[in-house]
Amino acid sequence: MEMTEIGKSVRRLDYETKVTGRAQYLADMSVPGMCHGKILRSPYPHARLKHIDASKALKVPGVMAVLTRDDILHDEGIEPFYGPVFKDQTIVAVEKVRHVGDPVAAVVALTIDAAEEAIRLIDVEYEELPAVLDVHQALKPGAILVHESIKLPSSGFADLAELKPVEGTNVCTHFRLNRGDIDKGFAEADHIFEDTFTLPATQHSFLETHACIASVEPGGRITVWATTQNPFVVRTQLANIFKVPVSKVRVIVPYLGGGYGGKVYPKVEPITVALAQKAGRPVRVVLSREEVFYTITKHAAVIRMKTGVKNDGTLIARECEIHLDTGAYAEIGPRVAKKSGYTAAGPYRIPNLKIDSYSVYTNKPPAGAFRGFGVSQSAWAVESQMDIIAAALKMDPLELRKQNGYDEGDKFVTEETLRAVGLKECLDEVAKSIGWETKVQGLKGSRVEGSGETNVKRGKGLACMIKATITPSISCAVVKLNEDASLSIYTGTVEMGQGSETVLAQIAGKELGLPLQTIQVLGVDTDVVPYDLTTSSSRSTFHMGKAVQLAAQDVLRQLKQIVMKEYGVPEDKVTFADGKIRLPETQLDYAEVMFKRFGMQGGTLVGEGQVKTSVKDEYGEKSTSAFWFVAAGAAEVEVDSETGQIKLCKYATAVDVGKALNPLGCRQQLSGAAITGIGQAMFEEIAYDNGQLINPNLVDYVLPSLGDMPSVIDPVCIEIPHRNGPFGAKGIGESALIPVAPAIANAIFDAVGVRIKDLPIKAEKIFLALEEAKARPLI
Amino acid sequence: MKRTEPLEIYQPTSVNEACRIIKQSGPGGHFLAGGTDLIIAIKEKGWVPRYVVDLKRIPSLSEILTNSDGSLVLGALTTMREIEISPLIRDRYPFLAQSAAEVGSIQIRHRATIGGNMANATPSADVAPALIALDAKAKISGENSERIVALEKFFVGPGKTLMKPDEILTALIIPPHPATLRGEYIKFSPREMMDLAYVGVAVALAMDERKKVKHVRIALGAVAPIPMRARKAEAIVLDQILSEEIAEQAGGEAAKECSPISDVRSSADYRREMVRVNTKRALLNAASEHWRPTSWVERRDRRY
Repeated sequence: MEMTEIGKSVRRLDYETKVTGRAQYLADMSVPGMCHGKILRSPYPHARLKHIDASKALKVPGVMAVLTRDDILHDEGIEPFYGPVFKDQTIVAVEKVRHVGDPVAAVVALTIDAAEEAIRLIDVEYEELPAVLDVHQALKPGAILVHESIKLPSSGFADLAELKPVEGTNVCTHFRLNRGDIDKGFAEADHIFEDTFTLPATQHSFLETHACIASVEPGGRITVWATTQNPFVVRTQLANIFKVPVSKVRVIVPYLGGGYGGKVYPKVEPITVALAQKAGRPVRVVLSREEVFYTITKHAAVIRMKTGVKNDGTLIARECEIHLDTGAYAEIGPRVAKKSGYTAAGPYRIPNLKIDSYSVYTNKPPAGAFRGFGVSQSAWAVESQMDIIAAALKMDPLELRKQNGYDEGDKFVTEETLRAVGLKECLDEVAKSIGWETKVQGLKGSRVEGSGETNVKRGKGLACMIKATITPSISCAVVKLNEDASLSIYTGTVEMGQGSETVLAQIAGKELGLPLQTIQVLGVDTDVVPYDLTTSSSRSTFHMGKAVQLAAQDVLRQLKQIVMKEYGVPEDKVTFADGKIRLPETQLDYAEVMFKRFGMQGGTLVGEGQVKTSVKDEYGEKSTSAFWFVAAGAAEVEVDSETGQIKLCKYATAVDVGKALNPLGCRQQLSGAAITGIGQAMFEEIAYDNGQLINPNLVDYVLPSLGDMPSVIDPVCIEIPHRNGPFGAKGIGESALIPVAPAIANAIFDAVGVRIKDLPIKAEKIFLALEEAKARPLI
Repeated sequence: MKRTEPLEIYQPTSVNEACRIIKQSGPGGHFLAGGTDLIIAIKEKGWVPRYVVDLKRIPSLSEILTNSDGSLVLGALTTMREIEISPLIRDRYPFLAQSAAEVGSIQIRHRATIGGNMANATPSADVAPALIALDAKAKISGENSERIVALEKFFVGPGKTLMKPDEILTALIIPPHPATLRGEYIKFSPREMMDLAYVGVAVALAMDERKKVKHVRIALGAVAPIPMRARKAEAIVLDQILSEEIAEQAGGEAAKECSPISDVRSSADYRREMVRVNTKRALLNAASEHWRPTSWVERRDRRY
């Protein structure tokens, strides 16, 4: 068996079970006695619930129970209000429904058919209310309120403590960032640019829809099998809702069929537990694709950005107002607003800032976390405007970025020092990959005519970004060295396709000198594994990887103690190499030492590792983010000037990964994120008509197909090691997605000279912009 | 999926038997061919037919054959995939094969039939414009009766054809064409694969030795309640040498003739503009010196 290496590509450990279709996903699972749950959803964006009558539904053969507001309001054992930041959600609607698809009631039945029939027989009388359907409407003085009042939790996320809803308005959160003197900054500027950018609500489009199986024992013990990225947050929330200690809640997470932020915080779990409790039977709820559209979306945003620039291209001032459409419930909207705000200056030194980022309630399905949240909104504006500035100043967009971009040791907008930021390396790599030098020759003439056909124009564009990871946070890990020197790893990190299982095994294997084949990473079960805050924010390799590394070191320390005691060797004479313990005269393997310690073939050594990050790091430095992600992307496109159709010829993406522990896995993550970004850039948009979703299915909600992929996606890992990461590694999951949309928009501008400021960049928009440009006299 | 009553499924082995079942069982029944529309309607849209008549047991409905007069008969149960890969069709009417290749995914094309696709009369059906450009006719069978109508007349509205409830579309017949006939189908949809056509343009034309167009058909999909011929555009091209200008004019005329709608995918105005551009391109491609049948993969890399 080969020793485990880091920095060398390994095939992911779960590949065989997944490609052969043997991996268990929640919707395929059942438990004895299990019934089926279905949810009745609001047909209106905003309405008062006048009357609910479930009597007919209860008569359907096979129906075990119907859950309505009466059950959650009059049960002492249920706290009706919940939510990760504000307690503005209820299991089923209480007084009002606030968006189309808002759960109104739910049914448990022996069969899915019976549950569906019963759902149709629940009589609900609504009184329709006027609705606020976009941020503009919602922010008008005197606008209809989505929430008349909002309950705050007694304790919540430390990083969001200062963010509160604004009473009497639809403002869920207002994040402010002020730096320097904004008026002075603009006064010193030679040029001022002001643009408004928008992006629509979109879907995560994971293959696996949300699902849950819940079982409640008579004593109140709750077991849920959940499709969640953060089992421990779900555990806490369920404990709060059902008023039991967390030890009475067990959350088990099978392989997750994709998450991308759409499976953080409670989704379908509270309603499934309530159903199981009422029916006295285990219940499974599996959402349809349409229901996912009602459950969680990505924040739509309107971003007004005003930037002051000196003649030489130095950015000197920025005023930015970001309006994020949070939908009917806060979910994690406040943090989205905060992250958008922090990154509204982009990865650039801008001394004078006035940033106002709002998350805003509307009568739309809730928006939450989406791969790189906050930043994929702000970066669309930041990076599009960079090219607007470059064009106006006749500067090379690459040079403009490098001139203003962060260097090692620079101060971020939060006044903290940036470390391990390979921003310029990322930019240079992607520029090289798409042949940027051939573009810049005589800025004006950078448009290359495509293969002899005059209607096709080629262009190149790039973009970059900086983002944070959730801080403070906690990851704990336990590893068990078994009597045969095999290793079991216990963590709360959810394997959702990102390859965490593999990389955690690599880290432990490398640290202990064990082959990968002897290591087992266990599935997530909150009864068994120690606490982890969340599998999101690209944090697992850095945080959980480090915790696993520490746990492995803990085992080594224990082995050392045993050797010193049992063999009488002084501490400085005991060393470890390749899974062996070296002593001056001889070497021992772990199994021998275990035998010596326990006197027989048996026993366990348990190693523990804890990582906790705070807003001051271990060196006492301010650290709003435990580490900073930087990335760049570059696109080469062809635009058909007669139809507006875009062909993406090549996409290059570079991310500072700190250290690529599994280079193959890193490249796959980078490519995957880029592909998601291509969908966001060119195709995806949830369309509404008066608050009704008109494309809640994957026929009319258009995702890119394989045929839309560029023939080359070039993922590049830049390695600037981070002092706190395991072997220097940082997270990578989200960063590569963020530059995609602006890079493509910038390439389109290079190709045909039109600037699209509203995502997605559909052919029709380019066509209209080209028509408009034709009608306009050339300057 | 919701179905409270058990679903009755008949499996007749002849057209006559199928028609008799419909007559006896009355309204509310539905034919089943490939099932790619019907099963989705039942499972996803909650639509429940009173009974289903499965046509797949009827022999000889899935043949592609040539008549002695040179006409081509496509049995109604011929799958899209069979049309896509048929050497006969690829040789004589490659653009028809290509229009079939544009439908759904390869899995769908292995199930979906040309008869089912035509009988469901979706305005955006990809093969409809290609067939209309080939003057295809629909063979409609009833109990002991048979009639043949032009495919263009077969469609009467979205989801509606002129067939009576107890009639079955049994074949599509492409009349003989001169060997010089060339054609082109352009599916315009921003997503490369597995998308519905925003606009579909099929062109079939024949030219004399002096490059004068002596025969031309231009058929449009997805831009009217039914697949339609653009007759005024055809008139512009007929008896002309197909220049860029003529093609442009014909495109403009086709854009005027169609009546697209605005929906979640695109606006009516844009669809009209794309009829203009793609009619022009289809005409020029069909008439081009370099015209030759292209494979799908080549098409993807080609810019029109």
